[in-house]
Amino acid sequence: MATDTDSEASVFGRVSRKKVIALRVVLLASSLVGIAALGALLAYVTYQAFDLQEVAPAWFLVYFLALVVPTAALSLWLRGRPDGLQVGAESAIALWGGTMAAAGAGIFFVAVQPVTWFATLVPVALVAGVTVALGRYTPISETVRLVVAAVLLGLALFGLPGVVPSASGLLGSLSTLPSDFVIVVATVVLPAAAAVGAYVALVREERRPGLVAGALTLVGVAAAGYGIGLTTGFSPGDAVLIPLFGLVPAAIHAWRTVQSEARSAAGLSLPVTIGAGSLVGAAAVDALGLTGPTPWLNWQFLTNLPNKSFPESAGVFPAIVGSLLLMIVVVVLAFPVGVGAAVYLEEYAPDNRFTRFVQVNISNLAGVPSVVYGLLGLAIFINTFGMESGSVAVGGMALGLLILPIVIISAQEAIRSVPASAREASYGMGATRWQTVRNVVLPQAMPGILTGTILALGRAIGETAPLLMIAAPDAYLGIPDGFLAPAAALPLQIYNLAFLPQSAFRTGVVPAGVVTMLAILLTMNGIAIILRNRYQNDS
Amino acid sequence: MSNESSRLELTRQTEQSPRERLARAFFFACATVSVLTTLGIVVALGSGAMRFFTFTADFGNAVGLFDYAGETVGVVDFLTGTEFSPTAADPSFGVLPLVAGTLMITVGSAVIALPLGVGTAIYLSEFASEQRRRYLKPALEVLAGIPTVVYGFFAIAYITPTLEATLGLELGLFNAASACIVVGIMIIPMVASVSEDAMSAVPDDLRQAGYGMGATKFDVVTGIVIPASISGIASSFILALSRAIGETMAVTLAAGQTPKMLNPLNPASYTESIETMTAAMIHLATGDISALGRAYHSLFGIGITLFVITLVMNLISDYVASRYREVY
Amino acid sequence: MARHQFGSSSRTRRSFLAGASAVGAAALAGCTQSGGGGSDDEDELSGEIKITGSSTVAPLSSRMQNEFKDEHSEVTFSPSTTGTGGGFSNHFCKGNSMLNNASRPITEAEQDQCAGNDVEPVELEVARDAVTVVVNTDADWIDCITFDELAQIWRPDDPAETWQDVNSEWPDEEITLWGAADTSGTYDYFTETIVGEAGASRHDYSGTEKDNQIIAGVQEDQYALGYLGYAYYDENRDSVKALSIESDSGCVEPSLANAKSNDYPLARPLFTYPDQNHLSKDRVAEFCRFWLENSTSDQLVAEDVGYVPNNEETKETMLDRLDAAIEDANAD
Repeated sequence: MATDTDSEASVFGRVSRKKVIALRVVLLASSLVGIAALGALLAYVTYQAFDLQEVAPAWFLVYFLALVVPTAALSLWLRGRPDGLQVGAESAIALWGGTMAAAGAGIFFVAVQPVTWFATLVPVALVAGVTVALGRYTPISETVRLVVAAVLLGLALFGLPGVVPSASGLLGSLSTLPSDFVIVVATVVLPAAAAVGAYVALVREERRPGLVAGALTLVGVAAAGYGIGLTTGFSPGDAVLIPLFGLVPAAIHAWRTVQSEARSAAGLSLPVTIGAGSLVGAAAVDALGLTGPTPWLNWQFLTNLPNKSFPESAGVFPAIVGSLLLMIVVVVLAFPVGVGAAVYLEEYAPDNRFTRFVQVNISNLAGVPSVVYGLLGLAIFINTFGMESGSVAVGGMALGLLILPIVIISAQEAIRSVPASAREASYGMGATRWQTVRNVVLPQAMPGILTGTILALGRAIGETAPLLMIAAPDAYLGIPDGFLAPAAALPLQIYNLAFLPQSAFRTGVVPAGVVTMLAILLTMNGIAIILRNRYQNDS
Repeated sequence: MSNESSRLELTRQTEQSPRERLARAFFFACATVSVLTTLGIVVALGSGAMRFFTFTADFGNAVGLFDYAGETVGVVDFLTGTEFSPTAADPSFGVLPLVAGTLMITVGSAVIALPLGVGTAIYLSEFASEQRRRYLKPALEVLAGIPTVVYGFFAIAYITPTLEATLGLELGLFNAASACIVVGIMIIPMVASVSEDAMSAVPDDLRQAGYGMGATKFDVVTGIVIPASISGIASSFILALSRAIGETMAVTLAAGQTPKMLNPLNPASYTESIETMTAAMIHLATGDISALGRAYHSLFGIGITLFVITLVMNLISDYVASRYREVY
Repeated sequence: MARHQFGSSSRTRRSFLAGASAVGAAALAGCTQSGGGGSDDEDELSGEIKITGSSTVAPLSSRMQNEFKDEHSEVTFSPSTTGTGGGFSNHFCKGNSMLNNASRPITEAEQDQCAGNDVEPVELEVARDAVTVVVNTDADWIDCITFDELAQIWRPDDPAETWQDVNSEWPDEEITLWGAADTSGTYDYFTETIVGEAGASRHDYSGTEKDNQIIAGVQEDQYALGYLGYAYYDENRDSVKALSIESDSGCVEPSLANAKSNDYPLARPLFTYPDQNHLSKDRVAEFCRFWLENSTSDQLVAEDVGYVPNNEETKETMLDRLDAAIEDANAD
């Protein structure tokens, strides 16, 4: 049946391999077709976004020699070192992801003023502290504590309308408040430094290095941020985010690599080479007087307000801010609910018809068109609940519901992959179901859950149809400043720019917007992939 | 945690303690959110569809520009009508041209995605080295991560001119072929990953048995692995096709706004512009027509039809998976 | 926790805490800002203006918003492209938006819905769109077309199939037709003006909301004919040829000047409807007044956006209407 009949007579065991080789080639080609097609499309849109038509070939040549050749040579050399290329790629991605995170945090503080952030955070922290203290020093039962915490939290954040002002409102209207720089350092840098210190202490299994690392991070980042703020135009409160997000993760990665014996630290030279190559290339084209591109995707494009009549003045800043706020709402809604539902279905649910119904229901919801979620948002959130149409809250809820089935399904897969033996061991020690879930199942499944959530989040940011239905603005002239602000979003803006009369919108502005959105999405994809790789390496 | 309370926890913690019940209630509530979502969708679409099917000739005083009260559209007429012109002076509300449009996109993208996806899955599970897998899988995920509005833009801005230039076809700005290509590219990862999971689940013993009998790799792959994982492959097909049916933005941008009853099996029909169900919903909802009239409310009728179609496909997929799945 | 493992750590911890609190106190003392609600400049307009409505009027509305914001930077605009009908029924008539842009007049049913929710729309004509009929640049047999000839081509019952069916001197070739999608205000206006009944059009043409496609389609086919908004024709003058329309004063070619002077017969009005209740807000009233006063501007309306500016008479009428509405709003 399987072997060639003519060969079996002549030589026993020699079977034609041509079919297999042909099959292998065909299959490899079919795997690459989609990727190649997408690569071509991305190349073309980048070409249009940066307007590379007018650029002299010599310009490309200079950058090729200064940047591409050294990087390629280094990569080839690194392949010979243990994990060399891996380390290099990781540190480059850490730097790039850190920069994007710094930009994201900066944009967050543009939307939510540091003062507002401070005024919300302090009451919440106080309530949490009170709850924990109550638990430790008084015999008050758990349920009462939870209720008290919830009530206090509500009071602190919202107050009793008309009777008692909210604590955050009171704080926000004090006559003297810490400056933005102090707020950011105290509420963002300090916890981050503590986390760094804890991590270092964990790795070195000693407290002292942890304290040193934490203190170093705190002082170093604050000083660097202040310095950057003085020399550039950024305010110190914003500037401090750059070293915090941009350099600290890469520094930790570098430190770990240097420490470990299995991985070659030579890979750390990759981002250095890329950076140095770019600088050398820039200096060279300047010295040689070569004209570079006048890209559509420039700083003005990223920081301007939208404009529907003049392509050169068009900008996407409100859309970037809006997309970030939407992302936050979507995560806050979809992550807990999605993971909770997955835990229920995998750990608690009895094997009866209701469970099967819920399961089929979820797979069905995953296939419902996105425009239907927009109609749902319009009918239920805006018409029935009377929420503000076009706001980040409604948009975030519609998008959150859209990706909820995806989050549930991927969380279920991650939870399912936790071996039964781990659970059985936990039950065998007398743990209850919740204890097992909390201490055994969730920690082991978390990397998989996070990967799935990040990918689902990427999908949510790219969706347009729900936002169209709930009347989200497509050319918001302002900065979205909170979660009831209008939900300007990148894909919606791109959709509405694509058909304006001036052709420059189609050939310049929209490609620039597309590249911006893809940069954000591919960064998120990259983070998810790194997470998954790490998880697979550990397990 | 003090030693006193942790000792109490060990001895007093049972399945019925408040903490356990609270945790269970929380998780149950999360699971019911999905049920509530479906309920919300059915209510939102259903109430609009009911209004659509109960418009009468003298519905209130809805007469005016684009406010066609007109004769009630029966459900049967809606589901079997072959013309869809909701705002014409003599309107017709047949959903079949839109279904044909959706079918064309589905078939066209299936032609691209199913072979490529299965091929990719076979390569990943049977041939690829660990190194290659590490690079290929993330690259495929990127295909699924591109926003659909970007795919739509790619279709009209790059793919249509390329098709016209290389194949010499006379395509308008909107045509079904470009839309099928981008939707196909978009759903390849879905087919590939689910099929690959199914193929990886086939135990190695079966393959080794085949090799032991003298089969070549080609024979093992085509004769053993694929048939053993056929239910998973079929599931992946149906999953990908549901995604293609529900795809909204790419087809709204790329396929057009002209409902036509074309034959999905005739390649020539892919050069024309069509309208799918999802695109019709978007165009009706964001056009200039009155949102109080019958024409606008036809979008809810289309929405319910679409919901039912995807639900049926899901049930079929469930049935196929459970009936034909090989359990190892 | 390993609290008692390192003997000297309690001392280092104490000094660390002392140092940190000293730094913290210094920071709080030295780096502060004043909180509380800063006093708003009383002359400066601020706040948000929510606008919904038609995608046709959106570029014009956007131009006016950008211009207004240059003068009043504290005002934010939130424009959503919901379509005229969706804007009225789903948002404006429910009190969720302050202005609705419309490429057609409001219908009676929509007015009733608004009245039921205490929303009072004020109809302001802000510009007109010169609907242009275009043919291929190689269509040398025709330069001017009459209403009647257009009706023969576009009517739903027994329309002309070839050019020759309309005029025996024209070629015996099938007319390829491009036009507005049946959900757009252009379709409604064209069918009502040319054929005589709104929505009365043949079905076998390529309809689209995206006028670029009409240009592309007509450009490729020598025997094609299409109708679209003037702005898209203006951006693509070299690609297609515009036909003059015959009216009482002879063959009038489509141009913004001709439309402004009412010579060009195919100019459809574009509107914005502020809610009178919101006109009591200074920023909304000011923005509407700003828009109307600039609605005659050749630069802003004609050159930058491609629509027909109002003539002085229309502007004065609209301004009077607006002032009356603002008075009514402030009187309540």
